[in-house]
Amino acid sequence: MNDLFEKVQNVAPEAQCTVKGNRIKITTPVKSVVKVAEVVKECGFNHIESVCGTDYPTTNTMEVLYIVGSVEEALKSKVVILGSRIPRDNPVFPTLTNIWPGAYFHEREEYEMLGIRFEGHPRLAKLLLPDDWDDIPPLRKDYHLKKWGTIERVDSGLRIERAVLHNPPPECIPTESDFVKVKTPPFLERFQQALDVPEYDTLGRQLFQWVRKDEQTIAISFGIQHPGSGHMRLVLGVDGDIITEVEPDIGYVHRGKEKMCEYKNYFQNIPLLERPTVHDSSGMLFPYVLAVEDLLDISDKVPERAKYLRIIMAEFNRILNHTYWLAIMGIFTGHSTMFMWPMGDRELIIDAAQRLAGARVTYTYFVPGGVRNDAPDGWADYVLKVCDKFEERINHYREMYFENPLFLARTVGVGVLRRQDAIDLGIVGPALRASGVHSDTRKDEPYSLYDTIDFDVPVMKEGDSYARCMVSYLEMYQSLKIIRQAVKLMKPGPVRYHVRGRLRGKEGEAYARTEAARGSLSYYIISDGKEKPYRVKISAPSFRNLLAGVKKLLPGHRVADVPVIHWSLNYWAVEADR
Amino acid sequence: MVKPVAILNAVKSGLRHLFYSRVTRRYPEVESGLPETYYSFDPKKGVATAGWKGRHYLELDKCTGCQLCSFMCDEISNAIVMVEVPEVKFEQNKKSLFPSIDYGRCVFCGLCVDSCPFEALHMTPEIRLADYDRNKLYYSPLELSIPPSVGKPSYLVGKKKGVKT
Repeated sequence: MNDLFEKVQNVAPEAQCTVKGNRIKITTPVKSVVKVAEVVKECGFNHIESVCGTDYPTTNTMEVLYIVGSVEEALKSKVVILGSRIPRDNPVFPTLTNIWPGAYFHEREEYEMLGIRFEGHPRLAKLLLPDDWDDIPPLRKDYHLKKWGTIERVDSGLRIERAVLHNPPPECIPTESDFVKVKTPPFLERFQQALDVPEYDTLGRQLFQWVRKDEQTIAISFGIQHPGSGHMRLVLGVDGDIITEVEPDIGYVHRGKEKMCEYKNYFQNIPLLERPTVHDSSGMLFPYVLAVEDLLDISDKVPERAKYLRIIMAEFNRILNHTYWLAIMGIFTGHSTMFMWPMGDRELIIDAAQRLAGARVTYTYFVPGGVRNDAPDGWADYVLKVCDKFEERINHYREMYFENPLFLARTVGVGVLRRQDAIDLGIVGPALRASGVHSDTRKDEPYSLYDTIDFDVPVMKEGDSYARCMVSYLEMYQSLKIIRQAVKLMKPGPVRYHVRGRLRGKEGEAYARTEAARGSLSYYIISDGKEKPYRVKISAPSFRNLLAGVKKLLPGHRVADVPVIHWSLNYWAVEADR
Repeated sequence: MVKPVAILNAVKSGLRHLFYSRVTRRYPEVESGLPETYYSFDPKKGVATAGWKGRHYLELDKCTGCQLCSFMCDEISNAIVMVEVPEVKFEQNKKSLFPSIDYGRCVFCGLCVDSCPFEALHMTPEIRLADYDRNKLYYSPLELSIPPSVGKPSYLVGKKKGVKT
């Protein structure tokens, strides 16, 4: 680490380095940020995790933070947070996509959410917001959400009738004109310029494809009502049957959770934040509670039993996610049996989780300080029985699906992601491990007693769709192994450190990352000492996976391979849009 | 790597499942068979007891009308509204303020139960709340105080049941 500091000091003497545990924060003036970033990359931090912009109207500045991890053995547990402050009136920042190509979509997101212009970015267009958004960038602090309507009620004895009167929307006058002035290229701009766009055919039916005059390239929409994964669209430029270019169009299920978090206190955020991926709801909450515990200084007070219960619940959710994913993969490859079996077998795990947390999908089980309730009597034995039965069930999948020549013909050698590309583009989760990178946050930076548990991380070298499917499948066995050990290691005791009164985080920031089912998930939470967080940045694995992965993988393949490649990357639209 | 003969194994595996018992359940007629317990929160220990998170059960004689459940719900789903029920008078609740819950909005997170300092709110195994009329999803305090037809209130044994009027 001293090596890194020395090199940074050499290129930028005014840079400041602070170390807090495994988090290395480097702040530097904006003019030297490119040089420092090059040095950080040289030192081995090659895996971009997130780009977080924050608005500070009081000091009239904006902060841009690049959060970079590593896949190299010695640096896996470390995270570099590289940032600098820029004036709020003229938010211009040099792009770092040349250094970390995976920052491409992160920078586009921060551009539209905060209006930060990344100079030199290849295509600075809107991503999540609607194309006709004409207000100021929503994550700026002077953009206010509309309040809930008042509820009028008339007590009529037994039945209470209600009428919801929403307040008239406040007048939203764009005060920051620079964002509006920058004419963001609307989606499909480059297609529309070069294409002759007939809206209707001779019979008056609306056409859904555009033919380019000069070439044989056709643009076709894959989505919006997506066959399987949720609302997103891939616009494919195809020459004959071969894809030549891809433009992902996402944001159809964008809810603005990062903004909504700033309006709720740390407890009220819990039901909101588990909703992006309902079949991985505990996995989505895990880094949030870890980060909030860090802010509240109660990380060391969380009881041991609560940590094991969290592990069990997170692994349940990993299995639920992978079975769901496997079922849809079966549909995508035209294998209906493989849809029915995992969907039926999920019920075993759902029942076990419901006995513990009282709900089928959205458990709201993790809270800062522990978990909400202890396991009922006899639950541990029940879980062991369920694990045995489930393992016996998923053994059948191998014969039916993973050795089935129909499935092999569709996936082997399709969508090969090379190791170096996967690292550069910031791919995470099973997709990264299928490309031969041994990277799992549970092993790299063990949290919540994962270091006391013996398990393996399945890694494959091929990097094709089959390897990605196989890694996810093998992970289910490892999850069962973890659950069995955690159930046995769990000793009776308290399950929650109860924080009395309202939660107030100390001033500062916390960065927590865990291995959610789809990959490394991280939260960066900035607190200003009040009940509500100042800024919550969610770095979702789907967002990191599909966008970088699809742009790299799809060109050169046939249209019929799109569902397999897209779904083998384990993409979930709601998680990516947040 | 692709062996066409292996498809016979898949067919064999599928045929074997003809003799397996059915995993699906005829749901409305056949219940899930899970233990029907309440989700309740003990404010002294700060820990809840495991149970279903279904419709709420309100103990009118414990509720003080402090509105903490309503404050918690405000930014989550805005489902709880405090209403005045003049015909119910209790010593601890002079203003007769009680929570009413709109199940068209409730997300069943149960944080209102956790926020109650007097153990007045519980969640029950009654989960069939669907109705043809939206207004019927709005439960008044008096309706919430009726114990559900399903479930054994094991955590409420020996305690006074809700007041029926």
